[in-house]
Amino acid sequence: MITNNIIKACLEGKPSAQKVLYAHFLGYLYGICRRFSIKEQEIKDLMQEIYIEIFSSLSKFDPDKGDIKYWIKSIAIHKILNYQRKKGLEWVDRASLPESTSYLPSVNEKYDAEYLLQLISFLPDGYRTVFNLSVVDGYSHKEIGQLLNISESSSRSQLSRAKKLLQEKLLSMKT
Amino acid sequence: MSKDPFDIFKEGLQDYHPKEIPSWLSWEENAEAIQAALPNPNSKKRRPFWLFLCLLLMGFVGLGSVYLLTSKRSSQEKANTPEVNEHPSSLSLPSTVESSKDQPIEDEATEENISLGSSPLSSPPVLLTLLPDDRVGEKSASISPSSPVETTNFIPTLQPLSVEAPFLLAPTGNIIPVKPWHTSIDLPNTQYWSLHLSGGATIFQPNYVLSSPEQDPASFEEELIGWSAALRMSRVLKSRLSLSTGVEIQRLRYLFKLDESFQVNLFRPNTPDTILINRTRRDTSIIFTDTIPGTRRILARQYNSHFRIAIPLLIGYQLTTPKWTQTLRAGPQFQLYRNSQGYTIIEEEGMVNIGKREAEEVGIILGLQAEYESGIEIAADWMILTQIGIQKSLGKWAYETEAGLSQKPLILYGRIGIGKRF
Repeated sequence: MITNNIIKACLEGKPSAQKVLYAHFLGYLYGICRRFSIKEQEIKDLMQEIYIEIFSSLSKFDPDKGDIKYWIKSIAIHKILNYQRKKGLEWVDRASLPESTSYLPSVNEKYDAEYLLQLISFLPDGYRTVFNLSVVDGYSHKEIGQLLNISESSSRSQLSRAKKLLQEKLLSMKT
Repeated sequence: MSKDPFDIFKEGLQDYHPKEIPSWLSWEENAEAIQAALPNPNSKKRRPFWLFLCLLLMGFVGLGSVYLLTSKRSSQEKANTPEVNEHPSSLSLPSTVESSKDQPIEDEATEENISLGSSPLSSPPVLLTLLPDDRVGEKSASISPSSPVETTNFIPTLQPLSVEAPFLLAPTGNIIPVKPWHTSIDLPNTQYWSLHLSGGATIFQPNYVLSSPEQDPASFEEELIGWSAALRMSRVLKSRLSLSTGVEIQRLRYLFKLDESFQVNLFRPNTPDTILINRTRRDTSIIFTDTIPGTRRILARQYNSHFRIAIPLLIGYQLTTPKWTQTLRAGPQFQLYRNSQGYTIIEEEGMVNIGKREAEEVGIILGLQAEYESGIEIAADWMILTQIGIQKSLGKWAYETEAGLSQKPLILYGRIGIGKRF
């Protein structure tokens, strides 16, 4: 649990408090990086950037506006998107989209998180990013459009294609 | 309401924590790099110091001006004070006054005792002479040059007799000549030219305009101080209005908070273990990591450099006293700017590759400027002056960063200099 005292100590630059905050969110942030399929050898530097941003702008965090976890998540996502923008996202042409699929995952089925990650990792970069932002992180298409500098309709179509690809992948794994 | 089948991804991944976290992500492995990049919480921002310096400067100028003005006025008062300020021993106290001392003091001003018989505007100054025992609030006075008049009227000396009254009675019984307010500011009645040369510090706030609002713009901005110099020619008119133009030069350099972590692996041919080309500036964090054997990695921050030449067209209003001139000016300015950018990046993952990109852009935009100038005369037609002002660009600087940012900068400046009247 990150208390106000820990935040205050972090603002004062105390390493012991920074270590507590770092360790508390390490697994969570590492999970987000993996969800966006950041390569292992680049995660370290990206994680450093994320933590530097967190500690630098901690004074802007307002506990009344929500849990620090979601504030930290938004910083991480912005950093990851910046990183991807530099690298260049792989946006898939509409012509190469799959046709249709008949399989939908059952809501009652339990999937292992590693298995889900593996499924997502098969998606092209652009699809995966939109899928993550929309389905997992709950961003609207308008917000995604602003974040990725694409139109809302592009975001919708990318999500739709991502879902179709995932359905295909799930179907192929079932059979 | 049916559940989206893809919610399994949300449920499974939104709080996903990998079972194993690599050891190279531990705090011990990363603490040094993170802490090196963090600003020192004990270091103060420069802006308060800059503002403090300006306020201090203005305070000195203001106090100095007040001192000069009051000292001059005092010397004038001394020179103008008539001898009646001294209590003449030859004056005798009329018996009627003595007998009236025990009477209760009436603390009210009547029309009669305020005007002393006539309006000061319509009559020549009346010399009010006091008797030795006259004190504030007591009765009796003699009035000359007409024959001394004994009066039992109460004279409320702590209230103004009238705005234009030539004299006031001081609590000590002295008579102080009062100069009408509208003559206390000696305005020059002539038109003249003035030339000002000044220099000082300037602070630059980039004010990024996001074409894709991906982040809080404030997180990108980093104000830095540069220098500024101005040469200005003014024409002061009789109406106290002035017209000014000239040339202003500003030079600023600042670093991005954004993209502060360009990683550069550098080495010299044949000596791969002796590397390090530090492209960062003194206030840039440097983080060392060691992922590529035989090389050292530095983080270099992107920088922007700005050089501006502005031609202002200002209209001003001037308040002038013999020693102190204050002017408020405002108007448009034309800014010729040159932005240059440089940074170093690694281009290919795993390959030690030095990439350097530089960009330069020149353009003209319109801006607005407002300024307060305060000057003290130090010699005939020469003055030292301070200027505090603000400049706001109306258009976006054409320069746009990779992150989709452009700027609408706000610039504050404080300058000191000299001025000459012609």
